[in-house]
Amino acid sequence: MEIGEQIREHVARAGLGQRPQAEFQQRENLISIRSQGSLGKNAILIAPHHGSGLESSWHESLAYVEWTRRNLFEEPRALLVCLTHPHEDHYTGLSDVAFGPPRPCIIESHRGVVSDVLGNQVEITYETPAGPIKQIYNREQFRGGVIPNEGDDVEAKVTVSVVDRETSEVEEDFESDIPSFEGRGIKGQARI
Amino acid sequence: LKATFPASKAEASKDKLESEPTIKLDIHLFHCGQGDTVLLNLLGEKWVLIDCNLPKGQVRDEFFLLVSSLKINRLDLVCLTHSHEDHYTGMEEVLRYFNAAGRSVGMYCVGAVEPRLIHTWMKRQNRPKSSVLGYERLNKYVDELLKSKPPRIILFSADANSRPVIVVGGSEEVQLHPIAPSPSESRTALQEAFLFGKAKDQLNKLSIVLALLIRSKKSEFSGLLAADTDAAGFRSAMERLKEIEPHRPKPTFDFVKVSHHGSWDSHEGSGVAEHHKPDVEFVAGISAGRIKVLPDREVLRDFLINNWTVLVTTKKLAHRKRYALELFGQNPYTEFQARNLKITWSEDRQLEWFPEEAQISLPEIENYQTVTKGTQT
Repeated sequence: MEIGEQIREHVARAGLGQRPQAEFQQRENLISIRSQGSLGKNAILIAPHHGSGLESSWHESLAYVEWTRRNLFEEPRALLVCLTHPHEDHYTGLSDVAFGPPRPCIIESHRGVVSDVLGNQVEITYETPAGPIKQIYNREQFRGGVIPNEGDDVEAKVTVSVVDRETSEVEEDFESDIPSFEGRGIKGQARI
Repeated sequence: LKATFPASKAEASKDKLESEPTIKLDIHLFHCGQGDTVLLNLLGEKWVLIDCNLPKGQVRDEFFLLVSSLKINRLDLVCLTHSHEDHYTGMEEVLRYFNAAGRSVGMYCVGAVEPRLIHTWMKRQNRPKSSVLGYERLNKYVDELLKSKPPRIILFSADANSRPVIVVGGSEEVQLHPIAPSPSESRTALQEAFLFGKAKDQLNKLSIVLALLIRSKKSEFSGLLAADTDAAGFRSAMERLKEIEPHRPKPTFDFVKVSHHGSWDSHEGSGVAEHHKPDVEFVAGISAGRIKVLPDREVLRDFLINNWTVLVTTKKLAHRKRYALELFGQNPYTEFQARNLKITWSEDRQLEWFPEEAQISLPEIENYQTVTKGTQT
């Protein structure tokens, strides 16, 4: 089963209030997913990275963000924020739509090898079925600020959390006095 | 005695022309700098305006002169593909012009996302006040037209799930098929924009991409009006087109109004450059950039290497020696003169254009200044 399908199934179960017991092991422990919460309709999905953060391109390589966009966003009450660090600056803009602490929902673990160290920058190579992916990280992205050595095995952890939303639609917060056009369009076949 | 002779070939052909109306299209790409003003004459009867960038002054005046010279008294459809000022500047004035002195507008097509939401977004982005105000005034005027009794305009909210607008002329018809954005793409763009605030401008992602299709027994035509859609939007549009016409697994176009004025960000890794690249038989129409940045040289090169016939509304601006200075200081609207690039297609599948020198060649683009991907606006 494709990773995207696994995540889809996982979140679909969570959305139904089920709590999947299985921990998905995929591609030689490259990724593991564990459910620790429920993903309801009235939720914002936040994906802060802990420890050595992963960049969005990594997620895209897993079709993770793409899948989330195509599926979760079909549900207008669910939003995704991908963060490289769980820093409060990144939550700016959420305060008016979210309340309550994030509840972990999915935890992923990505394993790679330090392929190069240059000063405060570390290149980590992840082997994927699509070929190796190299990502560069800074010192502050490592736990305790300790830079690993070349050749070290490292593990990057990603937590996907759920935050309840106070309002059901971002769209409700208008700062415009333009009248609504909703429902005023032509119904049926347009002919000119 | 009166001898009867068979009609000559020319006479027979003339008779045929008189009895069977010719299927024809005229596409006017009005040079308005970086922006789109596309005026379509479909089947010789119906007029459609896709976007306009008509700042007050010479350009707007020349547009109305063109409208007057073409004796257009009714715009059957006005479409605002997305809410960037280089696509709606002067649109309120166009609607007002056509709602006076016996003239009229038929349908007004906009994206399915609420204008007041876009307006809110524009305010949060701190877009120029004049742009925000222009958008507000346009939409309030549309509201006024919708509220009048009887309504003086019909609203058509379009996305990839919408049914096509059928343009009827005589016994023939043209389809204007919205093929992007999908509703989910629109929602994604909006939600990301609101969450990331000023950091992201997602309006191009909301561009309505239109397929202009003639599927007559006599002949066929496929056109693409790509607005300012980005690479993802282009891919999505191609996929949608394949759903609409599953018997055509690879889109083929007679004419393309390329996306985002021929910019790199609408091109790199996109449906144009990579495996989704459609076959384009004849013409790509590009409005030249007001700041002498667009169209991008490498994009033009890619089109030309693919043997597209590439037309630009003017070449004068394409030689952009001082674009940086203008980008940072001068009024970008002062240098160009409006002129009309007219592309005509008729059912014998001949595309013609005027002026002829609008066609651009590979050697001509070598002197262009290169604009790197990162610096493009």
